[in-house]
Amino acid sequence: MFSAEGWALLLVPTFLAILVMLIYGFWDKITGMEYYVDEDVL
Amino acid sequence: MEGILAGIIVYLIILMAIGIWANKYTASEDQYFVGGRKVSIIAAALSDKASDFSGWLMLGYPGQAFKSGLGAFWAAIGCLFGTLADYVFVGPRLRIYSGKFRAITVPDYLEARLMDNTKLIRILGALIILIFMTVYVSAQYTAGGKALAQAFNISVNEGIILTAVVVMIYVLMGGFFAVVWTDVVQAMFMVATLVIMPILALNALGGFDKATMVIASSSPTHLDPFGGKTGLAAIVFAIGYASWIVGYFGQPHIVTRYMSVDDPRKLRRPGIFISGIWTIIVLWGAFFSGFIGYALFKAGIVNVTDPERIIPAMAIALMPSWLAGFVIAGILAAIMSTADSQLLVASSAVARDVLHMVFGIELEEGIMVNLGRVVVVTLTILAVYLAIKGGKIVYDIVATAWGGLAVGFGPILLLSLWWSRVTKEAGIVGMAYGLISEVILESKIYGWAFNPKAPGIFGAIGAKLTGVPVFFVNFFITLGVIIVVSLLTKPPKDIVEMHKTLFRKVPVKERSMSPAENVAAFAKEIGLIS
Repeated sequence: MFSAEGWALLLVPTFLAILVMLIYGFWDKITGMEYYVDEDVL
Repeated sequence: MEGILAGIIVYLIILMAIGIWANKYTASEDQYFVGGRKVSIIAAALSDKASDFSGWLMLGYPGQAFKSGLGAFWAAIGCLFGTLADYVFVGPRLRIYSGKFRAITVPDYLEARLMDNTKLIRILGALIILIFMTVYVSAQYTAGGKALAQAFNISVNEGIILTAVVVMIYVLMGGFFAVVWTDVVQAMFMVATLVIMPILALNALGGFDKATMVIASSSPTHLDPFGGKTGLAAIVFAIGYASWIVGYFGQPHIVTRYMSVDDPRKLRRPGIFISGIWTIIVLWGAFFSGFIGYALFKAGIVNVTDPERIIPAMAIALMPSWLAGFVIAGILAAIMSTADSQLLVASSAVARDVLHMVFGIELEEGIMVNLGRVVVVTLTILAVYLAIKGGKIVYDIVATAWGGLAVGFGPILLLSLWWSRVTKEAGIVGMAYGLISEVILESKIYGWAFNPKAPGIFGAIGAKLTGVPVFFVNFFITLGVIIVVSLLTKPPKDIVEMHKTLFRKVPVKERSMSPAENVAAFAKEIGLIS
């Protein structure tokens, strides 16, 4: 088995990455604001 | 041997069938990535990752995990957060800007954003792409050469030439396979291979505890998160691996994927989830394949002469031969899906960016297509030469190419999206500095990473930073150069205003409706749905 540090190296960044995904993915819900996108851009 | 060949052929036939099916039954507008057309977010996100990860993921990275053990996981951390940072800092803004400016390549965007009428940015951009994409393609050929060498007992050089010929035919056929859905299949296949591989390896060895015991008895530093180093050396070790993160902002074959997505808001949801979760799975899989592969090697179950060939070697040793053929074919397919988009980016840099946009040469379409083919063949020959002459370590060659693109495009792309005051003079100076310094440092002084063998003062710096890629330090120097030159010059007023209006945020409920919402509202209006 890995040492505790070894598992921390694998698991902590992975959880942090999932946290970043959740925060960024729902940032528009959290702040209620979103980039203005019009038909010209789309 | 025959089983392996059969597996490869069956896999390629399946891919071809998907290509034909997609050609017939999907709307023509969604098919090709060429020219910034719309693609669905799932396809764009997976194709973004399939183009990004290739020979490096299947050969280069497992080879590092084999050599360094647990410490190599820092590279996975760098790549994972690099992928996320691309979505957070580059994706939506680049898509909004290129939608507004009708830009379809990275030099297009930079020229429009910085209002550069001197054509210098376009020329510098094309040069950076040409030089470093050729190196990048040579890394793919090296990876293909190693996979074929392991499968068919031929030499790596023969494998390189064989891979190059296959990729060239594939590109010249007009990207026949290069439809979105084959990229999605490739991405799924890469996940399947990298999940099954470590499980099979553990099964052959007798469990994870057994694996760590075998490794601990032969090389305890393989189980240390810092490769057995302490203090400052441990930090340098971790940065050396995790430095991939700064390269993500400047990879043209990755960021152009964000430019072709249909709606920038979808990069937020579900875009980042698809890419992020896929990346976590493949990086864990590639890491454990190499790590447990080392235990198998030490236990005498798998025999390899080259750590980078661990996945093909494990496939051949542990799987029925037809399934091993599938894995080898999957590696080749991953290489093809990356190399073809890199060759196309390079050939459009010559044909479109330089000849058409800089010199204003109007050629007939047929001549233009043929010119593109000549460029592809020329670059293929150059890349094969580099692959055969080079050090033949996929990880190192990719780091060299990644570094040039990271320093050449990364700082200016990042700053131009987030800082309204960037000027064209700063863009020209920054890109020229990035290109020249990176070429000199990588070809004459250090190679891809700092080392103490360099002459004079460079050797002293190299001794402090041994193992850290040159591009990691150079990225921040280039960032500084662009900021200083920008502050010394003045940007046009209207472009600063434009920057602010384009990236303004509005309350979610006031945003304009997406095409699907428009259709739904119309259907409601005429009473089709309630």
